[in-house]
Amino acid sequence: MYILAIETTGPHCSVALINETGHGAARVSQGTLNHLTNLTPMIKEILEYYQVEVGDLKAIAVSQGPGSFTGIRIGVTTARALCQAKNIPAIAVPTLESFAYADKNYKGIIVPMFDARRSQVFAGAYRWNGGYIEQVVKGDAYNLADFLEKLASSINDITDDEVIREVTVYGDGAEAYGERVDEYLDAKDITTVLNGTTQHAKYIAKLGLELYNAGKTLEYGQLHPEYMRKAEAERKLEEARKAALK
Amino acid sequence: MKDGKFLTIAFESSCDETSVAVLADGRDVLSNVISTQIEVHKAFGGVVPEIASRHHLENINAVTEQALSEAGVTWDEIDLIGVTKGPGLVGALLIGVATAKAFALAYDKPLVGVHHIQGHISANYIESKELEPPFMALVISGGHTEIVEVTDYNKCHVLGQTRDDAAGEAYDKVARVLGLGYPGGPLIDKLAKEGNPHAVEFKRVFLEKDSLDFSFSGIKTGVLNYINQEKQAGREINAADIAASFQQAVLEVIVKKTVDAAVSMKKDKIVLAGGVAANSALRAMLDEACAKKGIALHCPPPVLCTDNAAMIGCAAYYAYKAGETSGLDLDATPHLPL
Repeated sequence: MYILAIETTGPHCSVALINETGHGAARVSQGTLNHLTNLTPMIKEILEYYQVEVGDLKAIAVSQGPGSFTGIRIGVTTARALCQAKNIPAIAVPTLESFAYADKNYKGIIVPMFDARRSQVFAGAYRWNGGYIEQVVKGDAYNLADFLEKLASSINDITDDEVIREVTVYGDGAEAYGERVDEYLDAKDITTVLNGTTQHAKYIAKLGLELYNAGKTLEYGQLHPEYMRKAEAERKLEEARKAALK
Repeated sequence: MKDGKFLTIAFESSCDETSVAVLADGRDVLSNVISTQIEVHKAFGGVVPEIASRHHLENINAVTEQALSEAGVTWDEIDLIGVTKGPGLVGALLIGVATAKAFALAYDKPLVGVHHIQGHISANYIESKELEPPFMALVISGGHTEIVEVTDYNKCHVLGQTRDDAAGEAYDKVARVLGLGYPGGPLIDKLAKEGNPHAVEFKRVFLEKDSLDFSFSGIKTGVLNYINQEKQAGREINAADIAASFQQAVLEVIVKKTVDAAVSMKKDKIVLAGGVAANSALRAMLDEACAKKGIALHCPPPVLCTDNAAMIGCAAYYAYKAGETSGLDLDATPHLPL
């Protein structure tokens, strides 16, 4: 049994193919641009290399966001069409949560953070608890300051003695806001480790497999992007309408 | 293949229409499903790229399903996949391109990326079954105003184009100034029918002698200035007269240049293409000018003038027959020269 995983929400386009034991292989694009050009040939290559047909796949797991809006669409659109073509179930994998698989043995808090510009981040916080991922701070769009406040107070609420007061930051937010994170958490007696590893299909594949085993599969038409943010024009229109009511 | 006919499925998503079509032997439309987002974008007074992209993603799979079922065709019978590769809104284009490539991979079918304007011109092959190149084409839409010499099914070159706004953009802007709404083309065309086209003599911009290029940015300013001047003088604005006069000024230039191009390049056929080609005044004026010069005029019906996948399928078919195919690394190109 094979699951194909697709990740196009971050700087690199990547694909992974894993079996039911969680073992598999991945491919990562060289460049950081043009996921549209890279993705389909990369899928074709990895499938041919392991002699798997699209129709043989048990499911297709796709990184649904947040991340680059354009990137999200390339992955989700491709997954939808492949699933439609071969009548394969889809798995919508929350991109932030997938970072839990960056270090399954970690005793601290895993914080994926993507730079959404203007001191905004897409971020969440997770930890491993008895072999399961536990959400510490919900993955969402935040002002950096709000997120850090939430993060520190959520860590203070953890009573589990096993947990160490250490945060490891993944994603491009580590580079963009690492210093501010470190400064804030240091004052709260929490250690910050800046890792900075970005989105990867192997994390998507692993969380995808877990979701698959839990029966969380979708029909292609139910597979939607998770932008976590409205389009700029939509937001402005709503603001203008609200202002007009005042 | 079905009943000995070559089947093409095509995808178009370059702006605010999600469309999928199935064609037999390149010219026979078995289905042409068009899902328009026009109502969504009306609130913004124009197409918002991010919102268009989001809607394309949600629409395209169901539109595909419908196109196949209306055509009574299965994927196994499809011989070719065509898709608009550009020009257009990059976020919108990529939905069609990613979808077409995924299907090409899953079903192991050949893929051809098509130039959107080549598609608009090809709409004429669908409508006029006997039409063959060479001919002169006038491509006129929200984003394009081009005089194109078509020498073969896949060979053409642009003789003249706009240096600033496309004709359709000028229509949208003037419609906004007149408070008509969006999109401007059909609204102005309709209102102009009630007005006097010679009420206001807006400047006709012909540019240099023998140039086949256009400029439409000045006329919007001309309309604005006229309205302000009338308001200051305390005179009432007659929107229908302004619409008719604006349209007359734009179309006179377009028609003259197109017919001149056909005469000088010795073409006995002119074809209209693009969204604004559905404009009734343009058709009437071009018809009259062509008749005087003994030139045959071809116009697609409105459904083939608007963005649609059938025209893309036709262009893909002729490109494929000429030996052209695209790889799975096909990209979406927002600014793609013809």
